[in-house]
Amino acid sequence: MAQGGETAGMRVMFWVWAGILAVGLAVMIAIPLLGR
Amino acid sequence: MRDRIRDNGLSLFFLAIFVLALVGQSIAGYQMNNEELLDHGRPPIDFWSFVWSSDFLVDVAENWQSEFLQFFLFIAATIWFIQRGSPESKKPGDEGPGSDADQLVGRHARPDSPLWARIGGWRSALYGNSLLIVMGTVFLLSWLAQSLGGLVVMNEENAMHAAPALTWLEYIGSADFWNRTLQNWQSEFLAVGTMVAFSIYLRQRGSSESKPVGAPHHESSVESD
Repeated sequence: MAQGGETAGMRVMFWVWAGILAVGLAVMIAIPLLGR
Repeated sequence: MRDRIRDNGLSLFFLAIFVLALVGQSIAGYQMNNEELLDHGRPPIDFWSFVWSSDFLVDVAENWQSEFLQFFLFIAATIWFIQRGSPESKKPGDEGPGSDADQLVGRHARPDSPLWARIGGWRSALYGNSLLIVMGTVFLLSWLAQSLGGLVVMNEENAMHAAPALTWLEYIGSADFWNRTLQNWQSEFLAVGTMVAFSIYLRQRGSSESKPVGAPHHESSVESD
């Protein structure tokens, strides 16, 4: 399989999705706990 | 720049449609919420108050939890169960977590293997299950979020009808919680089961989710050859 090594783009994609999950979960848990 | 976009096109495509769908959900949900408020003789709220409310977030959370449960179960089940002929499955006889040699772990690792795969011991064991651990954790946290948001929404409705408020424990035993949960689970399980079985006989030329068009029906995963 011809392919290059790990790229900055791969790391960016990983952390973008991880960030969406982290922020999303934090908001979805915090808002109801605040009673909103 | 162009190469960078092409190299990450699959992630970027889903990122774009995720954002569009979430924005669309918030707009449609906002209009529906205000219609319900007016029906109950209450004043409408502004858009951002709705977006930062449990009314919106419980609907987001209930879909998140079911999607992550789907992938959690798909990843876990494909370790131990096979479906002869499906590209989603390993070959018959390959059930189980595989040997260290198969998995390129410890002394079998390649020079370019991830550090925690090369290192052996508990770190390789943890890294070897990291996808399942993360997907399972996201599932549990979004299911928790659904239960917390659903409780706030249910208690708002109860207050409008002068009914008593529920505790969290009462809510997770309620029909509302399980209706929200199971209506999502059933559709996920249906879609995964269908995908596993249909991919034995049907093909999509050019998709990594399909066998090559000319691959025989009895052949399972090409990658595990």
